[in-house]
Amino acid sequence: MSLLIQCGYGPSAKIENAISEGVAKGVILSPRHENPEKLEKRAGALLRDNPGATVMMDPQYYVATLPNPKDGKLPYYDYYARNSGMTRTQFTNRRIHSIVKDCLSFQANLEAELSYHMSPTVLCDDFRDYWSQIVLNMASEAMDLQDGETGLLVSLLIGEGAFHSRDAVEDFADALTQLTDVAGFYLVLRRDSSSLDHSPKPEILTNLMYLVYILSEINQFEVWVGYSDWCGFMLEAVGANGTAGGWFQKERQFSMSAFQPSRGGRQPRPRYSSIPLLANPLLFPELEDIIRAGLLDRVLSGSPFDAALVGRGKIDEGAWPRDVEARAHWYSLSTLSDSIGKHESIDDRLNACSRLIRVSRELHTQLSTVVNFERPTGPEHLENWQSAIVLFKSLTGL
Amino acid sequence: MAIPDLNTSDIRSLVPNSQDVLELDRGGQKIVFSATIDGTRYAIKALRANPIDPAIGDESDVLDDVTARAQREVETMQQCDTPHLVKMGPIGLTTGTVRGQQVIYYTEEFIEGQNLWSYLRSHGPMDVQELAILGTHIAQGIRAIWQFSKIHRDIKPGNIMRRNSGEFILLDMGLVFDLTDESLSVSPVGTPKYFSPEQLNFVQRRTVLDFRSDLFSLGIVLYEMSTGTHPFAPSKGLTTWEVIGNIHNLHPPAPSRVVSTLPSEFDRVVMRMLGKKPALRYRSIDLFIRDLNNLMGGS
Ligand SMILES: Nc1ncnc2c1ncn2[C@@H]1O[C@H](COP(=O)(O)OP(=O)(O)O)[C@@H](O)[C@H]1O
Ligand SMILES: [Mg+2]
Repeated sequence: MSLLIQCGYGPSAKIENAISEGVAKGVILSPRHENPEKLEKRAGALLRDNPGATVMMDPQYYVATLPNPKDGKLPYYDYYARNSGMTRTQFTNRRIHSIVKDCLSFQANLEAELSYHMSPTVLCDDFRDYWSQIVLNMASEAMDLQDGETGLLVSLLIGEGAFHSRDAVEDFADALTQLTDVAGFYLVLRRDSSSLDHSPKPEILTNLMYLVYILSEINQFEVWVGYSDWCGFMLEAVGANGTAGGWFQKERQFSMSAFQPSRGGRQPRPRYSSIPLLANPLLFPELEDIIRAGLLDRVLSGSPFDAALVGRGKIDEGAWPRDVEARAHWYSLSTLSDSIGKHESIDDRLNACSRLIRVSRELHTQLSTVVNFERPTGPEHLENWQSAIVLFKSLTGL
Repeated sequence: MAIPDLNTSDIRSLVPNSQDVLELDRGGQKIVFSATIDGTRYAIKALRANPIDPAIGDESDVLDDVTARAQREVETMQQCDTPHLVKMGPIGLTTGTVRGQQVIYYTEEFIEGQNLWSYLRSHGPMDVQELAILGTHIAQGIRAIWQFSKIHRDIKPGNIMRRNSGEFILLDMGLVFDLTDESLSVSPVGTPKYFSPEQLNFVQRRTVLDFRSDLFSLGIVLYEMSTGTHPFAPSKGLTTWEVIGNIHNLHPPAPSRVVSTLPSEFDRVVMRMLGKKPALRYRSIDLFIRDLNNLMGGS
């Protein structure tokens, strides 16, 4: 099981550090944030310095159907530039063929040999609508056009709403599993922007887990889940080969609002990444309150970065720069993923997840006397996760 | 549709060089004879050709066309090299008229053995070793047909022969599908007890069925051959609609709950084949065969 870094705005040495430290096993590059030359260079350097690292790029073609998107550097990429501002009816078979071809040959022609090639996709908000047909057409076109040397991942960007119907999920899985000649899938859940907490509703998470399970465990495809953040360990429990997390909130969970003109938001407040809490408490005031109550050691993740916080009466703001925050978070995610990956069977892995969540809920309860967690810190997400696991088990008879 | 009313002397008149003609069996739509032709024993099968829509024109011409096309399909599939699909004999699909009945007939290699339906009745349920061999052999047949992007559509105990030597052979390959597609209307008869949920989905017709539909049917056969009980018709006297309802909704008990000596690995394979949706079964026939091989090695 591997944690990958989901690239975003302002990549820096933190990526290389996290990989060389062995915390992350690779990256998912973001063309929107880097022009082709830089992206090619980065891929080459990462592969040279870390043989065995998983390096791939999400083509992010889904941006091409948004009106006036904030698409960053994407227009420097031919496959995007030639085919952007697309409406539904423009996706003829011929056009799909050329989009997929452009996109795959861009990846194949890079000097760096990517670990996988990824097919382009458009947003799928409903497994039974016209767009979902375009998604499937693009996928099967990619299967036919792949070069045969590098494994192909079919990329999928699926809206939360699509996961409401289990029946529709199964039908979609029927179609996906007809793509027999692909290495696997790169799956991203598009969050409804209003609900950017860690957890989708239990039934949605259950159905996402179910899709991962069908593709990986039952049908033996590789499944990589982008933007999975804290939920990654549960997805790995049901069969995902790897999950990914970014550095800022925008790269942790996927929301279309990232591609819309921003309202000039302020810098997000600094947060700690706590494995025992399975959450990111705010440094101020949440973590500070915990320190004041003398309970810091209950929430520490055990990373080398903790030294900056331990043994001081109060938190020195400079001690927790952005890069450290990101690297400490990857440390949490990869530690979690490793602890789940130790277990052989899905059943054992899910039980391990449940135990972690249960312990974490108790800790939240205990701490509630000394600190007032804001909603994003929890513990609501833990209840959602726990129910999702219960639902998943009854659904699959595990 | 009714099977044609033919006797052994009718066969001798249709196939003049046939000798020692014996009636073997009557299936759902065919009457089956065995006969010696040029010194070798063959099966001769005949089915009644339905009257064609008169609007199309001269009946026998259309019938010949359709038959010729079906013949080409059958010949293509004959080329795949698996011993687990029944081989055609010296006479391919031919139309003929006997005592006023228009019939289609053809020959096949004669298989010395029993179909699974009668094998189950005479020998009782199979052990795991034999079930694994059965599954592997028929899977090879399904794989061979799927190489032509076709599916069998009618896998059931009556369409699987067990040679006395212990090999399993799939009958009726491709034929049902190719003929039903045409105006011949040789539609499957009896209850669709071995159909997959997607074959029985009348509301939302899936455009393409794939080999996973055949795997479901084979799953029913394996279940039945291991337990003596049909998973979706556990008791006698269910109506067709009740069986169809069960195929869609019933989750039958694992085979080992019925026959306790069956290993849980076998349960897993069969229950997976009986997944209500294709994606819950096997992505490839080879993965299925691999699981069966493990089953043979393991016990
Ligand atoms: N080639 C064969 N050799 C020996 N017996 C056969 C052969 N083909 C069919 N039979 C017997 O005839 C029965 C019916 O044959 P089948 O081709 O399945 O007809 P139907 O389409 O009417 O079901 C089989 O179940 C089997 O018992
Ligand atoms: Mg038959």
